[in-house]
Amino acid sequence: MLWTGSATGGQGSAIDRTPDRVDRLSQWLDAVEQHEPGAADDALLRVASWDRMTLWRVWVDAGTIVSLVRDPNVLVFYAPTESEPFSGALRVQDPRSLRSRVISYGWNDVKRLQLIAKEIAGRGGENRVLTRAASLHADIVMLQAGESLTPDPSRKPRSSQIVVFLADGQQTGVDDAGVHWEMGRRLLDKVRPRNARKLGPDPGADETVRLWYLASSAYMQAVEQLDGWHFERAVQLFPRDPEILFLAACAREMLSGPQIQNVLASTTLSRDLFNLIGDEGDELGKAERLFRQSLELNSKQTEARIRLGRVLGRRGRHQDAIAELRRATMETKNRLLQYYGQMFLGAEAAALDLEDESRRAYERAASLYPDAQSPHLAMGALAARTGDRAGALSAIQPVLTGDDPLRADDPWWSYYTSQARDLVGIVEALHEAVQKAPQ
Amino acid sequence: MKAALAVAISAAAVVTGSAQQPTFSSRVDAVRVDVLVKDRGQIVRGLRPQDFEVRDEGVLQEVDLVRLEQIPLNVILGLDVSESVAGERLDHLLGAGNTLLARLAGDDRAALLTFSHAVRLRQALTRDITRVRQALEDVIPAGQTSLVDGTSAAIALSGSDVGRSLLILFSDGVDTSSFLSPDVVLQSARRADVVAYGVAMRSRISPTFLKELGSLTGGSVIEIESTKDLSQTFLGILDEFRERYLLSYSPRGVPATGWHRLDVRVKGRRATVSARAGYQAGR
Repeated sequence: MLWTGSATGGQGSAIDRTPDRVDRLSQWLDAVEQHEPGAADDALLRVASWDRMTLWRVWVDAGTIVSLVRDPNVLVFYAPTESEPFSGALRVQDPRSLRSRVISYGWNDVKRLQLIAKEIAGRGGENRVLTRAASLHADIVMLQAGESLTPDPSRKPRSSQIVVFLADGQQTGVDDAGVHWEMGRRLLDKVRPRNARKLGPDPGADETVRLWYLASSAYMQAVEQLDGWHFERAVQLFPRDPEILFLAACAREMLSGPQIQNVLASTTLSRDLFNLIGDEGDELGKAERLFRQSLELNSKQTEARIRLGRVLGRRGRHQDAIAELRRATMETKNRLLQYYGQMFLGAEAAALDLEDESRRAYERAASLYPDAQSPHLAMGALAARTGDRAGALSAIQPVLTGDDPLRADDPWWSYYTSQARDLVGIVEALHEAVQKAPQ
Repeated sequence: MKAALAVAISAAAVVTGSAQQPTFSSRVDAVRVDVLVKDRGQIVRGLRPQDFEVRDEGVLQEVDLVRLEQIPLNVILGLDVSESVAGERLDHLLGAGNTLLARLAGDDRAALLTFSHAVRLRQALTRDITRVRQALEDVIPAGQTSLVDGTSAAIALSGSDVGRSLLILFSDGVDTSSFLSPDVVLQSARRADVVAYGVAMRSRISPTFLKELGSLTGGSVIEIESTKDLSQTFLGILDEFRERYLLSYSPRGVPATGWHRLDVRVKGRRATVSARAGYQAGR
């Protein structure tokens, strides 16, 4: 599944002032406070039921609260100019560079907002609310409490943010994109930790924000829901974090893959919608750069080196690829990583006509996962290209004729999501950090 | 050169199941080339060996013609059974497979290989067509598409000392999950003695891999709008395959190893000749 960029340009829009606006904000703040991270509780379900416009107003008013906590005397409040709720207008390096308009509150509302801000200041501060809230909105998606994640063919998207559903390299539906990830990103954009490096918001200096981006990036990759902007924003905020860079690189590798590229090549939707996704070569280039940056910061990330090797091979740089893969397979004892490393090493050695090395690598991969088909298919192809017909046949037959090869355990089939295999632990780390936030 | 030639066959293979002696010679170092001749879209029949001009690396060769009616077929069905085939397409696919199997002659053999993300040999080459039919009935679509991996396995399975091998590959989409790269499998196809026909759903994405495979093996790709007439498409391929000529020659004046470029023409007429682009000899 793919999230696209914005299809429309930014235009000014009035911010409605509704009578229950501050009440709604209070309900949201109560839900943020009551929600237990990771639980599909009443608080989560209540917020999950709200529509796009309601959530957008909450976000605007949450910004007002943050301003009031940081300066109780402020009386003029701003929100970015947007063509529609949660447009792509904020998809820029620095959201503060956007055009804004004044939000008009009645005097009574301002007084109520000031009281809420005072209460938040005494209960751990605005950063605590922002990170708890972002965690709540992430949970709405991860616990699938929000909008349906299956396409409804009869429904036409009404917003410029759409999600494209894919299956087996084909587009199967289009719908409005959910707003909860965007809500989370926008809330976290306001975080200013105590160790902030600048005067304004500095989310890139906050550990909980980092964990939120790690968890959300891992989740998106685990369930193959890719939002190009999300990974880009994560790297903007944490350009020196090897884990963030690794997951962003993996996302780029996924976007370069046939599942996505085939849809981009065949879709009837405007290519402008996918302006954050390049062609295969572009995405492989981005993946290589990010894997290299990640390895520069932590050279012990064997998984990053294996994936870098594969990306280099796909870019036709087989000598560079085999050097990375030889090193990586020497460095790890992890069974899964060994498997990937040996498979890619086998492919690169074959590309360089190093047939013995290629065969040995495939044999090692086959010994690690005896039911896996891919090593045997690769050994068969290796034999076939040298004219060894009998060898080709004997290599592949054992894995083609089992009772149910579909159930065979071949890690290759989950390669594009395997980087997120520690998702549970990553999400738990986020929840723990959110719960530990000072009261 | 004898043992290393991937395209070498034995005389015994050619005469299997036949009471008549073919015109093919008994040399084991023969190269055989499966050829389709068309003139303005119509198949040209009745050509004799002397009507053909075969150049191996530019060197004119002396060719024989094998009488095809004496040679049984090995038909390998390589079918995409990924998730996107579910429903009506599967019904059409099973129908087409059964129609094709019904058209095979007594000595012909058939095999069924399917691919989704996994490749599965459901029935190895057999003359017992009932077993292939039964294997077809057991297909349940699921998963992604490993067309390249499936093709690699099908090519390996097509190697047979008996008969002429026809590979029919059907896919309704593009490859999304193969481990093998197209280049690796096309390298294998260069050495294989099989004619591959691809049947692909027409889309904005050209079936490049199937086209290259067809070009290398002397087959072709048929792009269809819908699977409704898939039975006719499969039968058309089989009928066309039966109308081909099988040329053979003992290579003379050419290197013993490496890639040999083939150029096959029909003398004295502007015919379109479909034949493998060449063959790989030795290492």
